Amino acid sequence: MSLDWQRIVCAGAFSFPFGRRQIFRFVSGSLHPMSSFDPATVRKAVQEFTPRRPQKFQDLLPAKDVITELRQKRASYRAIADLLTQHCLPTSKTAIAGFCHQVLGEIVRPRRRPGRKRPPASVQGNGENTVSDSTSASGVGVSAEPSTNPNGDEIPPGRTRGPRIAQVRKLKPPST
Amino acid sequence: MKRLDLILNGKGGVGKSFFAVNFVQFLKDKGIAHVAIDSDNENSTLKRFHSDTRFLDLDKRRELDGIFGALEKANLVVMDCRAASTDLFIDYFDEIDLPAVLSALNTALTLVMPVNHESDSVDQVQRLADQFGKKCNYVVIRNAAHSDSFALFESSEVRAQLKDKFGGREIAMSRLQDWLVEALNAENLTVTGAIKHPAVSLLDRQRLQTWQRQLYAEIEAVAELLLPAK
Repeated sequence: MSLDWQRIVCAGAFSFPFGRRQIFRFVSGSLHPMSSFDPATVRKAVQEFTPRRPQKFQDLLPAKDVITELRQKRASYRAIADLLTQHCLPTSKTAIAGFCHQVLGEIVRPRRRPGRKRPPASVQGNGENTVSDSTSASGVGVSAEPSTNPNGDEIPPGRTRGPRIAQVRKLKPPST
Repeated sequence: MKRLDLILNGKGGVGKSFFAVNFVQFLKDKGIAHVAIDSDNENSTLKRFHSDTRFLDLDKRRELDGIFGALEKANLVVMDCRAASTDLFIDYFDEIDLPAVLSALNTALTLVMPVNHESDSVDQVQRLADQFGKKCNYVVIRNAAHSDSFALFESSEVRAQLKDKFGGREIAMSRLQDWLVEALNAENLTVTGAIKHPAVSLLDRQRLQTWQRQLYAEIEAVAELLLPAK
């Protein structure tokens, strides 16, 4: 019987579009060769079948109600992770966050990036401006007036990225 | 003393490449040894008209070192800088300590800055003057290709600053007739090449010669800022 089956499989390997190795893997797995298809037996095998990989959040699923309740009480992911770890369910805040998002369906809100802080203009002991404010009141990156150091050399204004609107400094009309 | 001429204005369309093509032709016509560099990777106009021009990719910072590599071998390097490259050059020159490098190579830097009637072009000149101050020489090209009016530049503080404080000079580049510009571009011909070209009519040849003579006279008027010292 087993020899016949092997012969059939080998023959099938040439006639099927997938490789021989795949067929052998299928045959040598949890299923045993049957003389005829029996739906009841297959159903039983399916019920007994357990996937190789554990289900995602398998460990946390029994604590689903607890986690839901804690989230309703506005507990943080870290607090929930700590609490469960203390009660013999070791986990991490990242796992709790993933569980809350993927299982409980919490909405993931993108974290707002903090605004770019402009360094304040400061003056060093030698009187040189270390940082000059290069953003005008209009909110666009416009060069400020160049400052001068004690030697009288002009220090170029700081530069910012982004839009730059031309602001040509005009000559002052001669005073009469 | 050697000379590095950077034809620079962050504003596009002010005539940087047009001037560069004709300035390099001037150098060739006068037999002045030089190295020409194009840095515009999108519109390499200088290289199109002068195929012996080198190309430097501004996006590769170390390629910029090639400017100074060229200065080790030549007394004059002319570089056509692409639009929107002002920040890049400022950062690069800060990084290498430009005055020290120029001193080591016994080289003077001249910023050649075409301007037109637009405020952006004048603003760019102002930026460069604010940044470089007395560290370099300045030549402003008044490009009349689009307009004869330079009211904005003339009323600007930077013009007076360049002239009075930094010893800057101005030259004019007059308008070349549209059909001549189109013909030169269609055939990738320089003005000198077109003057010798049999297909160019006598009168057009005369127009080109007149235009070129004027430009060459303007360039010669500021030769001490554009050419290496003898």
